Amino acid sequence: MSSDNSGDHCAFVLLAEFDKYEGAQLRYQFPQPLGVDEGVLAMSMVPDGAETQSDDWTVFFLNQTPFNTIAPVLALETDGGQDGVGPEQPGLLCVLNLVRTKLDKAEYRGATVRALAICTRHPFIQVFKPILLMAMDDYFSDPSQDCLSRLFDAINAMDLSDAPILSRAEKIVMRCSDRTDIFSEKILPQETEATRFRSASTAANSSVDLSSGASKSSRSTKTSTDSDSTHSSSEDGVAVSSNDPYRSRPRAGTGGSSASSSRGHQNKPPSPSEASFSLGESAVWVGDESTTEESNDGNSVLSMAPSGTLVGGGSQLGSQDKNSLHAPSSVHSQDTYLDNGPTPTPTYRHPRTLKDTHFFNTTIAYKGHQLPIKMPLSTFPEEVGDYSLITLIKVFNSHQQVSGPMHPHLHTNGPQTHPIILLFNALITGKRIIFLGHKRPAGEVSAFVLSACALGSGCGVVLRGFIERAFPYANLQNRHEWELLPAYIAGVTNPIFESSRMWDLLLDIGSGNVVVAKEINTTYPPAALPSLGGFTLNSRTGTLKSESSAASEDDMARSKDKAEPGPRAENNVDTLFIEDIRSAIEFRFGETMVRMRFTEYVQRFVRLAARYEESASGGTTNIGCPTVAFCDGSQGRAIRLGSGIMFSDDANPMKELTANAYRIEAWRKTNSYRYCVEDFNLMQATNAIQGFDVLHQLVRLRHARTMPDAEVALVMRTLTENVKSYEQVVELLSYVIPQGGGLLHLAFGLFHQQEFVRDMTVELLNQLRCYPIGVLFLQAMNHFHRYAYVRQAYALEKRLAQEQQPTQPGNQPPQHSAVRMTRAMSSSKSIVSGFTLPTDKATPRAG
Amino acid sequence: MRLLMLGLDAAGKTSACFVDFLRTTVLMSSCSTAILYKLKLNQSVTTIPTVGFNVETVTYKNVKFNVWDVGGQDKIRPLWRHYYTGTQGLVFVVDSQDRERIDEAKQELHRILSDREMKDCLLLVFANKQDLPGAMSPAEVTEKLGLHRMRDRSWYVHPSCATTGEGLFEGLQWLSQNVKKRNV
Repeated sequence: MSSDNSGDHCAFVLLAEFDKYEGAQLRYQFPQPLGVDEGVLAMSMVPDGAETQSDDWTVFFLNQTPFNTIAPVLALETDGGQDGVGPEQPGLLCVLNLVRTKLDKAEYRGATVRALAICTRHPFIQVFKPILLMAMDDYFSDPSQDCLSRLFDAINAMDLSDAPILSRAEKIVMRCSDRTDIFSEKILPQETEATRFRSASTAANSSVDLSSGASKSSRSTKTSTDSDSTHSSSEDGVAVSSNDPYRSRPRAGTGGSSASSSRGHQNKPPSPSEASFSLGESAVWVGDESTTEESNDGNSVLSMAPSGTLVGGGSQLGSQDKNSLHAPSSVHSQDTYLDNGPTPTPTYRHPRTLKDTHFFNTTIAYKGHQLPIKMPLSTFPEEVGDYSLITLIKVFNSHQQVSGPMHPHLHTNGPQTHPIILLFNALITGKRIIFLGHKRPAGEVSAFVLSACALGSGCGVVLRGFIERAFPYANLQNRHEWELLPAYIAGVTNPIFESSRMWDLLLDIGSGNVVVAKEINTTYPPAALPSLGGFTLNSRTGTLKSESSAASEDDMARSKDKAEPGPRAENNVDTLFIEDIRSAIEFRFGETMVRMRFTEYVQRFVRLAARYEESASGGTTNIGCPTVAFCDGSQGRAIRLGSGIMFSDDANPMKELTANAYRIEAWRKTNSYRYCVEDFNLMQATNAIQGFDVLHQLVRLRHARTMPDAEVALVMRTLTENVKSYEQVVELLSYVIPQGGGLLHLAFGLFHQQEFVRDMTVELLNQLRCYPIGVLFLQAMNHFHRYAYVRQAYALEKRLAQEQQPTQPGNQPPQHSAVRMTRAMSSSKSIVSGFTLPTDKATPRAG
Repeated sequence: MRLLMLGLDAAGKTSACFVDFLRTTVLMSSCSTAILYKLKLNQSVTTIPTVGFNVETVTYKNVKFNVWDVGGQDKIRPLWRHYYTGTQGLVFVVDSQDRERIDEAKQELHRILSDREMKDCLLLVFANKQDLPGAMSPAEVTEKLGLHRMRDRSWYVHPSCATTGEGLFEGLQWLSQNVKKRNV
């Protein structure tokens, strides 16, 4: 992402008009000419049919092709290298354009059509819509170049320097979460420092929170056990004595939590790792969902601390637990939270604290107005604008509306191939795609193109290379620059393109019809596939279990299908996926959910392709971990974890690979594949968690029907050993998306029959708990698991403490705790046979 | 039948277009949009200049005309060629009152017809804005456009008034007859 210093948000401002005699004309380019054909710019800014819409938006890109590469006389002071591309390939510029038609009887022929555009490097162009609207009003009242310079200066004066820059994993975690306080620890302190005036109000808020919290607790006291509740301690309700530097900020939230945090402050040196529990003090904390809701009022994780509840459900139960366990913590806990169902308690929301941390809030000062800007923090470069997959899926929803010949690249499920899958296939195999919206606003057509780009890229997470060939609003004037590209995704409003023969797939957004070009089989002659027959699937992959997007019940259905060997019917992973998405939309799951499912789908496609590469090339792949089964160390072989994709049952892989072979082959010839190879290599080198295929392990835990104990033990041990630092924790969490059950499948380790696995799971969860983001995930676990975790963590602490009597409870540094933990585990006879755990291997926590 | 209706800007093209087998392009005068919608809807539309194009389907005497009305402004005339392929009839709209630009109209017309894709298409010229004082007669328009020199093409000049709709259907009548003749 581009540098966030102010001054780099808007590279150019353009103004075009429709001249009654000349047609679309570029009037102004500010601060200097772009060096691109003016006619092309003007036509892209004044779309066909502009006179029929009062306001319309178009989006187009610069620096994609030689035709639209800018060549300003004065070099831009900003280097275009943010995307890691060299100077010869300047970064993409996105143009957001507002076109307005104003009927005016006084004008010759009754109307004025004007278009105002900004060129920016940011993908979140939607945030600039309000200011463009204002500037347009401004220009209509006073048409001069000053108006452009005002707009230019105003946008560039926008201050994003305090916006946190999230890592890839952080972005993934954030986008999957509904919580409005996610990563608040990264945002709030900066905000308070930066926006001076706000810090004051924050302090005020916290006092508000305090009082509200207090009143709340008093209220709750009545419902729950009397005296104990206010000073309840917890092993069950444990304070997150998180010690990260953010903890001490004034917003710590409700009274209880601020008390606990200040207390923790005295006791502990400020290292994040310390956030783990310390014996004798409040032990483990876990909040509960009610607090999740609670935390909407911006109190962040810490506010959970006092909730002190794991048991949830009934305050009575909670307090009984406290009594029975007699934990010596002095945290003020508010049992209220026990009573709260998952219903939010709006009473305690404060407008100021309601801010959603998915966005960074800033303002643009324009002509005396402070326009609020909500910059989304988890956007990837392949996601431009505020696209909607749901809209895309709703419009193109029936295979009966697909016409034209079949092609193996596109029809991966025969004539029943769903249009969305068809579109996905066309995207990844580099076909020429047109979205046509006759008599539709150009802005709508643009949105479809941007949605398609997001779809192909797995919402920006998995693949790249779509935006660079996207022409969200394309027209006749610039057709020569995009129609001749080997692949493009274009949006047009002119039905004349339907009769041109320059596309492979045409999607009509008005009717939902999808047309495959008649000539498709001559344009892309279906090539012979490399034989997949050679590979010996079973011996190499051994345990093949479901990594399908479908839940495991579907496996049953699928194995039934196997009985009747329909020609293509077996390729119903896609069909099931679409069915799933469709019902998700029907049941009003939101856009977030749908996006995540597509991310998952594309991810699986890449893993499948990796598997395919291995089969086709005899064992190597450039885009994924090798497919290996878990090996338990018997027969003299070294014990090791499995990796690579998992299939639902042993018969499926071959079928699925064959069914996917064509599109994978075609994909391997595209840019997006080349980027994928690059990205994979980069990630292999830079991932925080190194040395094993994390996703494979998680999928095993989630989908495998049976898993050898040795494997579970090794998985949990490997995770525990490799997920310690903040980066590692976030990376792990980015793989366990909340809708996939969150920590659920990891938490099953708490109930494993082997003590070693249980202990390892506790330790892993403890490590997650060191960081606010881990705490959020722990809170999202169900009560049963949370309780199991707290109970076991406490028991483990106790056990360790007994082993090392002389330790002072308060000052126990966590490093020791880790060591002790490991020792305890090795001494307890629970280690899985087959490998031993070297006691000295317990590395100090990365802090 | 696909018709293409072309004309210089402000010739009345939009008012004039209506053909369903034909792709008509209206060139050269601002009236084509007015003509299109007079044909299509039998009502006068406020003729804001067409940005880009209009396309409508008009049925007349069982012939469906697909009429494309393309903006005639100077800068966008080069785009006309994108509409040529598949066009069976060209409706060229001339502002009969605009004597200054009739020569410009002539040049554009000949440029269009010289395109390979337009080799076989019918030519209908609407001498539009007949209601205005001092309008050129159809004969004068024919003369000024140099149509008499066109030997290998069926052409027809008809007076019209987009605002009242006079003459429009007669033009279509001619087109449908001649298209049928050719199809036979």
